Formats: sequence, structure tokens, C-alpha cells
Amino acid sequence: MSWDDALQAAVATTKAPAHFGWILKLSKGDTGGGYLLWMLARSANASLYDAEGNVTLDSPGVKDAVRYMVELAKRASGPGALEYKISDNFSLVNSGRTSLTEDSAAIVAAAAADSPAVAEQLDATFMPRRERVGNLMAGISVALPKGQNAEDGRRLAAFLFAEENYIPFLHTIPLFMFPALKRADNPVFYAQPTIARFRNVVDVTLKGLESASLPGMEHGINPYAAQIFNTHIIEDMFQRILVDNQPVDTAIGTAASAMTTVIRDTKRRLGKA
Amino acid sequence: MEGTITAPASRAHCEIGRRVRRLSAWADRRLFILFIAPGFVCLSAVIFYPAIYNLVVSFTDASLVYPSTSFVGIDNYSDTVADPAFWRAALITLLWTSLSVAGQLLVGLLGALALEHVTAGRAALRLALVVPWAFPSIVLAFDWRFMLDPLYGVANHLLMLLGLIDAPAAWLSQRPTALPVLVLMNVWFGFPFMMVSLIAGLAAIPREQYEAAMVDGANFWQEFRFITLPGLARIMATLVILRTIWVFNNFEFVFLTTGGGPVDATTTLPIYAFNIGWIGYDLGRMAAVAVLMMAMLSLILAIYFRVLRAAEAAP
Amino acid sequence: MIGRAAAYVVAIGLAAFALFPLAWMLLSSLKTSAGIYRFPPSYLPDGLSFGFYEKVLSTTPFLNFVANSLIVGALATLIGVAFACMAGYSLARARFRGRTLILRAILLAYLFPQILIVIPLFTAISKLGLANTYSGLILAYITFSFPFSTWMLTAYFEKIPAEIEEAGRIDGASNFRIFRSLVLPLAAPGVVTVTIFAFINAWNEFLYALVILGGGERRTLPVGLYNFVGGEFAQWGEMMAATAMTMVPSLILFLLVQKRLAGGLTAGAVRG
Repeated sequence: MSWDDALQAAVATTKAPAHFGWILKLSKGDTGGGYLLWMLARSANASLYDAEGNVTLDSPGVKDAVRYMVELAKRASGPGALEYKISDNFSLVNSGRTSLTEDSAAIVAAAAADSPAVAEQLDATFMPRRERVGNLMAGISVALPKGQNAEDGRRLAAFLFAEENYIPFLHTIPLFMFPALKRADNPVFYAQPTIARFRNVVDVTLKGLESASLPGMEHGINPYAAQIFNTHIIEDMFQRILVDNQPVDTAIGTAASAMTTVIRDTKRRLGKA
Repeated sequence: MEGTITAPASRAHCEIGRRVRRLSAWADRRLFILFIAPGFVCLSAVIFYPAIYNLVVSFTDASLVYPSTSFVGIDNYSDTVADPAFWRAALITLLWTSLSVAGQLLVGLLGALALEHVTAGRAALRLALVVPWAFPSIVLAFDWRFMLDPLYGVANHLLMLLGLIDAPAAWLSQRPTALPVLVLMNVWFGFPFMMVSLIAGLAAIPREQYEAAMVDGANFWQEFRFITLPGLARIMATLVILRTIWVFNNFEFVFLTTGGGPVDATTTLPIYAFNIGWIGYDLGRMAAVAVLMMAMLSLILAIYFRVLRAAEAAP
Repeated sequence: MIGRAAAYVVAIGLAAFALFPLAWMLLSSLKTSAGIYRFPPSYLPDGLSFGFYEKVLSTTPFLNFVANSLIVGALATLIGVAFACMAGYSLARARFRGRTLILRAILLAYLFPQILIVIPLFTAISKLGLANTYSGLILAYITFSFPFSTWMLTAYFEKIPAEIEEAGRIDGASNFRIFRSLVLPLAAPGVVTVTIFAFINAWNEFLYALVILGGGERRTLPVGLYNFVGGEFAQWGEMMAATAMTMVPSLILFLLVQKRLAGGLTAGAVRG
């Protein structure tokens, strides 16, 4: 699905005020805006900042992504786009008020449990592509502690990944967790009822994971991503555009300098510490 | 009392008993001081220690994530004073505080007066009117957010039924409505406090004044202006002071409802401070903002006390 | 009389305004999964459903939250009110150096924004090794329930006629005995009010509970509530149910106490 396809689908299925095509989640208290921008910029082969920490927010790919999201917000998101957070996605989907949404497979599982009528109509596909697909991975499979409880952590990991435990563990909340080991990619995993029912969703997820990266870390692990997303610079930028009607370029400029300051402070701190 | 011949063990007992009695006698004489001791520790923990801590930290670049701290002089203060967002937050805080307190006082007064003239069902009505006060910030914030939700909120529906709006609106994420709605919520939450205190205040006004006024043929408004209001003046002053402090400093309420948005339309000073310290990890600057906040509040209160004293002096 | 009718109109109108959010919360908590998101919303429960209540009780450690809140609230209140009684009696009766300072400090405690206190308090509690423990939060609650409780109790103690204590002293009773057996019983209504109020505040408190005891099983109710909407996914129905279960007990306690609160506050006003 291309950017245009997604936009057309979203606009076509919008029947305000009852139903909207793609309700964005641009609240300043969360990272919904930042994550989606990152995914779309990535699909245009652009980044918010490069490997050295230079801010590239005003590159053409990112600018296009910003404009695209602004158009989506204005035409297919309804009045709530600036209030909703990622955590609202479950309500939005379960209530059947949005056609499209960006989220993990978990949302399908939640609908299957809480809102079967909606779940009937749910399926998954890849994020809108331009030159590529920008897949966001929000977590890694296991992190082992180094300080306290290091030994216990290792033993827990060994237990979880053990042959006889791993797939049952993945099945405890179906569609929330996916195999990180090749050997779990077998019929037993796919036999679980929810997984079997939404097989396409699972396949899309697993395929997407192959080219996914953590937000802000497409050039490798760096210390800037957390700061950038958690200071909600991007959500602030979208709010300025949509609430104050600031021109996109001005807003991008402000956001870029805020980002530069954050990265510079981080570098300075780490240089010392 | 005692004085009989005792075996060594019980003599030791006596010895301890005597010591304990002497100690408790000593303590009893100093009861008042000892009694205040734990309280003094509490006060230190809640006032002196934080004040000193913040004062000290405000001159450093302490951070929430990085371990190293170094002295930065008055950088935090100058950065804050030079930041237009700080002054915007100050203005919004002043608006938020004055409108909320005024609204709470007015509605509280209205409620108190109304209850005064109600006969049957007064107790039940009073209980109903007090309910908002019992809401903790978190329940209040989420309950109202749910009612004001742009997609499923009942507020939108009611307004549409009344013909006041055509389509559901996002009350908390548009600049013109965000702060007023927040003030409305605060008035809803805070008027019971005013009302309950004013009811007590009204009860304290001597009946004879009203009777005398009735004999003189005064109408409701005259009674109100010349008896009720002056009678309540002292209490209203206290209430305004208390509430101003509470609203000015309040963080949870605004944070849980709008988080400071849209953009910075409801970013009060506590939210501004929070963003700097917890989101931007800059504890040093957050401390500086907090110190400036306190200075501002003290100034407001000093002005207020001055006005009060002048009003009391000139009858 | 127009006056009487107008009063009723205003009182009933205000009461409706005051009660509507509570009513809506209760109503929403009794709706079905699909019903809660319907727009236009239904004003009567579409079939009384306790589904949300069941969900809250079965899928979240809600009862743990209740237990945590009870433990922290009860201990903090008992100790805190004891301290406040002691301090209030001292302030009401004794004239010692620093008394005015303490009285002013109690007032000053209000001037302090929460934000100012959170970080130093948390740092101190961490250094004491009490972060993420009940004791840490209890300590925090004792510390800042102190100013208000003491303020209220000082007023109550001042109202007790000094003759009673004189009589006790003539009889040769110790200061402590006088306090415990003569004065306290007379101040009992005030003490009860302050206790209930302190407990309600501890029960409802959110920010410090989040910072000091924010994770996992030790969470208190407000933090648990916060997770329903502020956490992983926003579940309005479950939130309403959980809120109702949280609020109704403290609401009842509060209604018992609200009349007395005015007395304490205005007494403070008279003292100035």
C-alpha cells in the first residue's frame, strides 16, 4: 500500500462525525506523533537525525512525511487527533470508529477479546510505503540486567527460551508476543486458535520485523532517540501546525533547533560522564 | 512506698523502676517541647529541607539521568527568565488561578445562599453539593476527560441536543476552550469547599442584624450588601488565600487532564517546571523555576495581605 | 415567595451540576463493552452489565491495590494524627520560643508547590533505602499530612477550657495524664475528623504514590487507576468501574466528615 492508497482509503471511509478513516494520535503527552513520523520518514528513506547526531528534520523525505500526516490529520482524523495517545488506540479500534490505525498485532487480540464484532473485520498490512516500508519495532526480545539480579535474569531467560517453555510462553497472550528464535517458527506456534484465526496479521508482523528497527535507531543504537522522543518535540511540532496554523516549514525549523539542543546536551553530558 | 528488705533481684528491679520514673518525670515536665519534636521533624522535611535542597540544586546542572553535577552559577535562573515560555506559563497560571478562585467563590456563595433559603430537603441537597470535593484529582481528570471526549463524550451530545453546537468538538485540545474548560472543572471541584465554609460563616452572622434590616424595610440586595457580605468578609479572605495557594501550586489536576496542551495553552508554572525536570531531565533548572514560583506566590500573597489590611483599616 | 423558589431552582440546578459527573461514572461502569463507546451515548444502562467490574477484579490486582492503600493509609494516618495531636496540644497550650515560627511554618507548608517537594523528598527517601517500600510512602504521607492536621487540631485544643487542665494539675496528675485522660477525650470529635480527613487524603493521593511506590504489586489505588488510562491501553469502561469502587468508600467517609471540616477551617480563620 502506498502513501496515496492509504490517504485515499482513509478519506473515503471518513463519515464525520460518526466515523473517521485514520485517527492519528498526536497528544503532547505521548509519542504517537513521533513514532508515526519516524515510520513514514523511514519509508521515504529519510531520517530525523543521522548517525553522528546531526538533525536532518528539514530533509525532503521528512518534510513530505510531515505534510502527509498533516493532511491525514485534517481530512481523516476528526476532532480528537490532538487529544489521543497511543494508549487510546484500543478504545478507538474497539469502538469501531476508525478504519485504519498503526499499531502492533496486540490490538487485534484486544478487539477479539473485547469487541468481537469489530474483530471480525480486522486484518493487517504493511505500513504505507514509498521507497520502502518503515517498520517500527518497539521492543527487543530480552534484556539481561547487569547490576543486581544478573544471575536470576540469566536463569529466567534460559527458562523462558527453553524448548518446552518457549512456545507456551508466547501463547500466553497471543498476538502480543512473537518468536525471536527460528526454532519457534513452526506449526505448533501457528496452531494457537487466535494466531490461526489471524494468520495474515501474524505473517505481516513477522515479515515486517525482518526490516524493522527501534525508532530513531535505524543507523544503530544511539543515546539520542530516547531523549528526542520523550521530550515530545515532534508532537509539539504537529500541535503547532494543527492548532496554531503555523506553516509547516516554520514548525519544522523550531522542532529542528529544539532537537539540536537536546542532542548537543546529550553529547556534552556523555562526553563528561 | 517501699522500704522493706528486698532480695538483690528485686532491688535491681527497684533501681530500674526508679530510673524509669525519673525519666518519665523529666519527660513529663518537658512534655510540650517533646510533643512538638516529631512535628518539627515533619515540618523540616516538608519545608526547610526541600527549600534548602532546591536552593542549592538550582545553582547546579543536576540531572535526572546523568550522575555528575557541577556548579553553574545563576545560569538556570537567567535561562529561565530569558525563556518566553516561562512568562507565558506565569501568565496562564495567573489567569488559571484568578478565574478558578473567583469562580469557586461565586458558585460557593451562590450555593450557600441558596441552601440558606431552602427548607425541605436541605440536608440532602447539601450532601449532593458537597460531592465534587470528594473526588481525587485522578478520578476527576479521567471522569471529565471521558465526558469531554471528542468521539464518545456525553458533553458533546448534551450540547448538541441543546442546539449549542452542530458537531462534536475537542474541548480540551483547542486553544480557545482548553483553559476555560479546565477552569470550569476546577470550579466544579472547588466550590463545595467554599460553600461549606461560607455556610458556617453565614450561620455566624447574628440574626438580629437581619431582623433589624427587615424592620427598616431593606430588600434582599441591601441585606446582602450591607449585612451578608461584610459578615463574610473575613472568611472569604481566608478562603481566597487558601485557594489561591492551592490552585497556583496545583500540578496533578492540570497534568492529568490536558498535560499542558494544546501546545502550551494550559501549561501552568508547575507543568512548565515538570516538563523541564522530568521530561527534559534538567533538575537544576526545575529547582530554579520552583524557587521563582515561590517568590511569585509570596509576592501575590504579600500584595493581597496589603490590600486586606487597607480594606480593614478603612471601613 | 420568589426568594424561596429561586433558592430551590439554584440549589437543585447546582446539585445536578455537582452530581452529574458521578452519575455518569457509575452509569458508564454498568454498560457493556460495546455500549460504552456508542455515540450518541445511552443515558440508561443498556442492560445492567457488571462486565467491567468483573474484568477489573479478575484481570488486574485491584484487591492488592485496595490492600496497599489500606495499609499505607491506616498506618500513615494513625502515626500522623498522633504526631499532629501532640503538636497541636503543644501549640495550643504552651508558649515557647519558636512557637510562632512553627505556626508560620505550618502556613508556609501550603505555599510550597508539590513539584518543589517531590524530588528532594524522593531523594531523601531513596537514600534511606526506602524507595519502593511501604515505609517510604508512609513516611512521606506522615510528613505532609502534618501541617493541615496540626492546624485543625490546634484550633480544637484551643477551644478546650483551660480550667479542666487546672483541675487536673491541682489533683496532682502529670502533664501526660492530663493530656491523655482529660484533654484528648474532649477533643475526640476533632481528632476523629482529622483522622478521617487524613485517611481520605492518603487514600486519594497520587503523585507521591506514583513516584515512591510506583511499580508492580505495591501500587496504591490511585496509581492503579492511572494505569487503566495512562498506561498501556486506555480502557474507559474498566476505568469507570475501578473508579467507582475506589471512590464510593471515600465518598461515604467524606460525607460523614464534611460538616466538621468547615468548623476547623473557620476556626483557623478566626485565629488568623
